[in-house]
Amino acid sequence: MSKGLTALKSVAVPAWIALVILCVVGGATVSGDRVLLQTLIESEIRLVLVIALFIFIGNSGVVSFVHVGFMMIGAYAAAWVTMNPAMKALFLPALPEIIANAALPLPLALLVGALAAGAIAFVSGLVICRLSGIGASIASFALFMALYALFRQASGWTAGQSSLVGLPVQIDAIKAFCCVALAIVVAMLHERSRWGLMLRASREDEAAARSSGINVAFQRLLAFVLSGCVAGLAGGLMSQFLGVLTVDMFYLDAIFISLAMLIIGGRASLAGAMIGTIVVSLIDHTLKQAEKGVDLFGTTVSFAPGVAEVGLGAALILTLVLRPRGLIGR
Amino acid sequence: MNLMLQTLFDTMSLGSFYALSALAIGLLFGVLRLVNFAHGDFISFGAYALIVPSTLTAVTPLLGALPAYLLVPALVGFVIAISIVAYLVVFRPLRDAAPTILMVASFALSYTMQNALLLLYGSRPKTIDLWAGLNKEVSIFGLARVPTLQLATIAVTIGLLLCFLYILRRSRIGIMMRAAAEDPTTARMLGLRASPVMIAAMAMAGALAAASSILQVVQTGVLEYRMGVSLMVFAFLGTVVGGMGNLSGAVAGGFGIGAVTVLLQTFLPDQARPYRDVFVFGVVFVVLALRPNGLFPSPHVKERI
Repeated sequence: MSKGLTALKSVAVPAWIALVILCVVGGATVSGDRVLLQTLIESEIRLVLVIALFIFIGNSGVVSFVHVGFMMIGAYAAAWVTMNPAMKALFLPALPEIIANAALPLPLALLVGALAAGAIAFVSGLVICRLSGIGASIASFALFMALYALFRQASGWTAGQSSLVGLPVQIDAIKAFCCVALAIVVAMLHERSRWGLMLRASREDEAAARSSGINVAFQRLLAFVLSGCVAGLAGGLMSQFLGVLTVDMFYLDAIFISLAMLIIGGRASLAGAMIGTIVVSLIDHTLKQAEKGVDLFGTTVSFAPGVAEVGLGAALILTLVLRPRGLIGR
Repeated sequence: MNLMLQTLFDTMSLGSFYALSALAIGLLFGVLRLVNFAHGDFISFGAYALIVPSTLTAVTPLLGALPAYLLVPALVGFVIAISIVAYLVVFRPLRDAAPTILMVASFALSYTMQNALLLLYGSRPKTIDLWAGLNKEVSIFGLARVPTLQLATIAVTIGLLLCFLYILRRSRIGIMMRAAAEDPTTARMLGLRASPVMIAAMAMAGALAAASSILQVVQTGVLEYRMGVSLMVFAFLGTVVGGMGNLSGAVAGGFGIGAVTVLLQTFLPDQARPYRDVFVFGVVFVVLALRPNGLFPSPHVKERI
């Protein structure tokens, strides 16, 4: 009975949250408030990334710092296949001919982004997933720094340290929501599959899982690739939403905020990841507004830049001390 | 011959520079099971203490105005204090948490510290001239010309490494630290008090960070709010390659990473040189693929069941 109830909850809560998001997205689309829509789409993209993190970190218990790097790969891969070929010849002279001439529709471009990220996740996962938990985390951080350095240097592919402009802007709140829904379904199917179960068993007790015949490295690799694909999808969304890409969008700030969302909400469940994204997005948005200046009792008060980040950092530390399993951790 | 000697000096100075940070990170992992992402930011804080906090471009020296015999102890004391405060505020409340939680907490601390620097000093890099005379070159037996600083780096880091290894091997607190690192449960059962040992380890890590701050600033003369990050990453790689929890392994690993970096810088063809760091990471990945527990795995880190 209670097992059935838990199972029902693990499906029902994320579904309810998704429904609420859909209502907000629908309402905002009808109202047509551009600033609100902009913020919403950004949060939706972050939610896809956090769900990607959940698929690997939540189920395996191994913290990964590289997923923002996979997101970057997805973003640039989607940009490569959607940009106007004439623009590509101008800004990205190093692209091979087959990519330089490609002009794919949005769904295919997102798929390319996801697969490209998944492919890199597979190759690197072959090494990372064999390491011990902490060693894997450090190696993932090193891999992230390597990807970042590579993308910053390879200016023929990425426009290097300047921004890549001229991407088609074709993501609206509804399309972004479709991707959120897709990510939720993928995460749920994996969580409830035998692979998800085996991976969570290894999270709870690695030795016991091993002695029950679970190939922990393989299960981790599977989740790593799957979550790499979803992170790539988030990247594709980002490139087709902003129309501009810089490598610096995918740096320490992005890693920090996505990890904070996952952990503040509760990394062990999909619902926790989603709640965390919503809560942290709200806090972040409020603090960023405050940096721009708020009207307080007739005078405009504004915080210096950096206050929002320091506040979020402190919030994550406090969460870890007071509620190590997150807001709705079990 | 000339190139060989030059490369040898570069290898020695960069290798020992990385080894300093790798020792600090390895020590904290051993004693506290803490993967300290904030180590790089301890280094940045030490460097920024040299100047007065302000977001203006003009730089006013703070500790940097002191003569060397006051500057060094003041800076070392400051970074040790930062390190101990970080322990008391963040890591001590989490002492029963899993290593993963500690690691995420240190990542959050690192992010907070970086943005605190951004808040106090602004995002623009600042330049400061500290002991510029050390960048003069001296000739070694007429064979190679080496900046004095490089010789000083080598001497200081090797001196520090020997000094800390001596403390760890011979002194009472050092032996306590190693006991806590190797087998915390038994150490505690034998009556070892955890707190002083952990504070001593944090203090040692802080002192090592302060040494890195000074060496880094004298060498580059540039302050940037994320200046510690890349140093920390290479030091991390050193500890993983050397074998987590093995202090000599961490030093050897850090040294090895520095050596590989210099060798790639020297012998890579011109068009591949901008990708040097990518190659360094590649080498590390190959090593870890072959030896997942590092080159010198510590027998004590494996969890007993």
